[in-house]
Amino acid sequence: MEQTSITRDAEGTTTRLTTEKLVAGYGDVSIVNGIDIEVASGKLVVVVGPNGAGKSTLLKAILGLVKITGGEVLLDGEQITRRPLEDLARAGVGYVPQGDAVFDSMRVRENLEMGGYLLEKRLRAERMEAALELFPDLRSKLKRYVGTMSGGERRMTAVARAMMLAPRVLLLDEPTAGLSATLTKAVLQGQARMLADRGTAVLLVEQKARAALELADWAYVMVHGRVAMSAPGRTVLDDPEMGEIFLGGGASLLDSAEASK
Amino acid sequence: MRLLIETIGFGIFSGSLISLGAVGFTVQFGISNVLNVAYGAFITLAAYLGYIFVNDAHFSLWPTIAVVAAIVGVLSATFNRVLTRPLARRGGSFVAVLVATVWSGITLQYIIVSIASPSTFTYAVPNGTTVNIGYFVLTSTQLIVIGGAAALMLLFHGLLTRTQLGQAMRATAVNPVVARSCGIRIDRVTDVAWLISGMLCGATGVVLAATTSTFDASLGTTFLIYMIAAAVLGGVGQPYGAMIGGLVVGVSTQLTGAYLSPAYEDVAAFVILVLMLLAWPRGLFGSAASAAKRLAG
Amino acid sequence: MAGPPSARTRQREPRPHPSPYVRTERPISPFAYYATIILVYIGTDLIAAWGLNLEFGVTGIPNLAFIVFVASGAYTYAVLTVGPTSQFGGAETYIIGGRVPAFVAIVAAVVVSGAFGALIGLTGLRRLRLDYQALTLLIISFVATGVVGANNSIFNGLDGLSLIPNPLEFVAESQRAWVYVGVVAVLCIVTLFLVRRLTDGPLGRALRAVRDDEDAATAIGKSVLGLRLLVQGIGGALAGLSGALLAGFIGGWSPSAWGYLETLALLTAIIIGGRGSNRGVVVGTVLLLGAFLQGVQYLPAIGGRPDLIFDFGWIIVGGLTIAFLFMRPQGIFPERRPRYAVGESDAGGGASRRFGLLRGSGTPNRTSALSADARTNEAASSGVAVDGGRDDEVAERDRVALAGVVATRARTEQAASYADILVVEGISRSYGGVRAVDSASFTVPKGSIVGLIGPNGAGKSTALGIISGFIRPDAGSVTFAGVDVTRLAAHRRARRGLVRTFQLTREFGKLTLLENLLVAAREHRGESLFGALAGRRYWGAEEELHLERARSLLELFGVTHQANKLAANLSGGQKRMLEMMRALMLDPQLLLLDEPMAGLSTAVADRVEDACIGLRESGVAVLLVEHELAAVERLCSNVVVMAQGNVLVEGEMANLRRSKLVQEAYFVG
Repeated sequence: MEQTSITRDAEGTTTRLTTEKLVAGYGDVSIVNGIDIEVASGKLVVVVGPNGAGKSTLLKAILGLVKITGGEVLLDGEQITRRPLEDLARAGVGYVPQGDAVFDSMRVRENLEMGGYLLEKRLRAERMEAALELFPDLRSKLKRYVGTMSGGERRMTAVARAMMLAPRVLLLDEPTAGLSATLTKAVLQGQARMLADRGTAVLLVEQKARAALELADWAYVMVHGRVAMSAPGRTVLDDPEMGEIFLGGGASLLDSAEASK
Repeated sequence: MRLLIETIGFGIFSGSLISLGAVGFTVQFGISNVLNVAYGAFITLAAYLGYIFVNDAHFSLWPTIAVVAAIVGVLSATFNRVLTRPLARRGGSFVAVLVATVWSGITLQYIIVSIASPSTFTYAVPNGTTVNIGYFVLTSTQLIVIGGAAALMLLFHGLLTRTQLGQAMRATAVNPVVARSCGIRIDRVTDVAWLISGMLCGATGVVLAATTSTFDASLGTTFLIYMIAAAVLGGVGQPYGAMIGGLVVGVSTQLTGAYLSPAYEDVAAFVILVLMLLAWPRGLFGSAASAAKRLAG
Repeated sequence: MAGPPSARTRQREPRPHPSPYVRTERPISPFAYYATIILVYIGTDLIAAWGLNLEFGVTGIPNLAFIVFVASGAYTYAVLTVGPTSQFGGAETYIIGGRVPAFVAIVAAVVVSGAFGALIGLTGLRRLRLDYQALTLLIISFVATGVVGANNSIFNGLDGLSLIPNPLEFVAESQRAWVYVGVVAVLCIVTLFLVRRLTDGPLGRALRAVRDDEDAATAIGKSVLGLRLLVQGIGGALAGLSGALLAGFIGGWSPSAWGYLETLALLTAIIIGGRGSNRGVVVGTVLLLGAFLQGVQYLPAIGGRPDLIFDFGWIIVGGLTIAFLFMRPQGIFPERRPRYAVGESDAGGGASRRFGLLRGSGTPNRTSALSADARTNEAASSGVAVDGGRDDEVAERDRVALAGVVATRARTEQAASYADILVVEGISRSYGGVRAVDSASFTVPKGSIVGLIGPNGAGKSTALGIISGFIRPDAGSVTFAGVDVTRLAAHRRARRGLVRTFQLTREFGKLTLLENLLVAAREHRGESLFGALAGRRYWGAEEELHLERARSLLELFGVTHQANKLAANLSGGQKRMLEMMRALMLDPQLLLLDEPMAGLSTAVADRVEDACIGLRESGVAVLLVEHELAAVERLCSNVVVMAQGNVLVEGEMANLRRSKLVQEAYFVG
């Protein structure tokens, strides 16, 4: 591995991001109703579920972007609930929001430089080198304006940008939205899975359940703002009821999940 | 032919001043979504401050510009922190914030009048010698202003593209959430943006006053319209658009003045502007970002 | 008109010889001199401010060029009443000079400014963003001053016109000024009377709907452009009246006296008084334009600097205004909405028993512990009792009630020759090369509920937009009730009974829940200009009918107790119900529901589901886009599955559920 790793810290310690009974939403409506999840270094953890289950809201709650009405978020046991996003970035939590997660009117190089905004010059150059090693395709496109690039390239830039701060935990919100099936695979394999393999804790919220589950170490299936199932990705994938859940709301599964507690 | 070139030359001079001011105006809009009508009064303030330095303290023009730019820059940043930002955070609508800036401008203007007296003023600076370059006939001061404005614009371009701070300003304007996730403290970046736009405003005000024969407290309010026109022409919030827009406004007003009637000097440029807006509602440079957004959404 | 700063504006201080006092043999007292001027200024400002409030406060048009219409009215009056050029010799170079009677000139001023206002209103045609619209109008205002100031042959340049005859020349000179004040006062009262008829009835409601959400207003059949033009015409006319009255009084007209900052002064008066409130406008105008701006101009001079007091006046006014914006951004009299009696408005009780019942078992077999406590939450927050218990009689009554409210058109349609209320054929739409909808075709039979499902990004919402007329298709056709409506404007489709709701609820936030329903009433006779001016006696009976229907809907949906609450303050679930009830007020033949149950607690979702059943039984067809597939299965006889812009397959949900094709489409996403 390169000298400058942006996917694993030097001591090789394990980082753990957890939520405890997190309740959050907009105005007086709570979308996330008491969620416990955990993601640790080197693991790809996915959150899947039908539309409107509250997956993205969960991510935003972790990042303090929506109103939290209960529960807490912990990073290695430290309270980070409701912390402003810019402080979380300093604490080692990287975030790639859904959709336009890039600076369109800026070049790829500038996007990466922005990602390393907090770093001193030399370190930033090293990190950029490391990011380009993770995403070699970007190397030849450093001078391109991101606004003119394809969907897949834009996502790559977005993730590379987030990696510039060598986050201990990376939160990805539907990085494949609007991408074709082939590109979806490439993005999930080449970004989420690859980063986890290299030591980052990756929490991925994904609409495209099958592709995500195939790669996941652990999966949470969210339904109606609650965790209906929590199991290794494969197990969820092989569950005969899964197709049904995505079509039917998964109430029965929720019931059994609640009952087993 | 000679008239045409002379006119264009003078148009470039006035256009470069308009550009300089318009860039500051448009940066404030781009980063804070505020149409700061008080910007005109800040121009006036700069003109009067410059007058004190030049006529009373006997500074020469160039250090005056620097000092006044610094003062107005700080005032501008303070203005945003104390007035526009808190008002917007309290749920003040776009129009309410606009109205607040209008009255701030009026208040400032009359504070100036009450202190300085309502008469007209003239800077005690030499006009400079007349210089002929081909058909271009300009005074040396005008030439320096064109050069200086171009240099400042280049500097500003360098700031936006080459420095971290400038990049952070652009990033904040384009995508505040992602900017925050990079660890950028966008409130501070916004402060700096207002500081810089205030400095541009200050420089513009001093130069404007120094190159007009006489001025009074309505100097900035009148000039504001040209800057707004330039900013709108270029697409509000787009610094490069404002630069081009300023030149277009400057040259077209001079051309109309020379060829149609001096009385229609202002009018034609604005008629063109309104027609253009009807054709390209978002201004010349306003479409790129929104097109990209449409693609992604 | 009082003027904010700029050296130019100060020229507006009364000229040395305003006409009411010209050739006065017995000079009137200084008090009368100042008092009459101030009163006339206040009166004319009030008329203008009401006009601008109608545009900006009520309809949301940021008309920063408003003062141009005041000036055009003043000019029209001036140029029509003064004599030809030669009469005054050298100073006046303009060529027109009408010498028409003053009364005719005032009417002409009103007409000209009104037409001019509507014309400028067409700038909104391009759907400029609010800030661009504001800026464009601001620049138009500046251009106007420049054009006029530069033109000598028509406008006499910056000098303007002077010695404009006073319309009251027949009154004895010593009394003329006071009589003028009286006339202005009477006209103010008349204006207020008319403006209130426009803003307080059904028309005002529709205008406020346009202000709060253009798209939603279109979706309930309002012609946004038409209403805007109407308002800008009326606003312009009032501006013209104001300008003519002022010009007739002060006897002078000059372009620089009506600079763009004047509009901002009027806007400030409106914001201080309370946006959208006619009463507030009075307070704001008298306070700001009358007391502050005019008042300070007549203060006696002090010391060696007579100008100082004037400057301090501006500084104080500016400071107060800013302080005011900070402390009370909503104004002194915030817009108030009418409260309606809603009968048995006690929270739970009778209301909640309704509509929980149409469904067979009503009790939670599919509702887990989760939804049970969600129900309790919802019940606690909305005050609606949860448990219904089965009662066929009530269910039957509800159905009849719903049919009575919404299905009048659908019933008459039963006999029509076509079998399908909606036929969609080969519609396509791409955005920047991506085909969001790619030649999709399907039909909705009369009186049936058809589901439209598919994973995110399948093109469902785009298809809905094309059908409702919000999105123009690149190809294909939409036939509604036997008529090709592909080229028909969205609001016209809504009026014909093809009504949509929105996925993200789009309520008219500053109207009450009940008003949100009332505003959707179709072809309300109080919504035309004539109807609004004719008053309640003309439209009151019809309003009662709509009110009755709205009350029934509120009751059926169990939200009667929220009727007088501002829509912005409703909960998410209540806003969803508002969307649906509002659509039902249009008496639709086909309802396009865009995810009506998204984010709803089970209790409320059940109510929406029951309403769908009720609609079907009343003969109203529904196209239901919904992710809650269990509900789709219960409701829909036929379900269309879209994926990647195409119709993948259609059929019964039970079969689709087993279809590997559909499962895969959803699972892959």
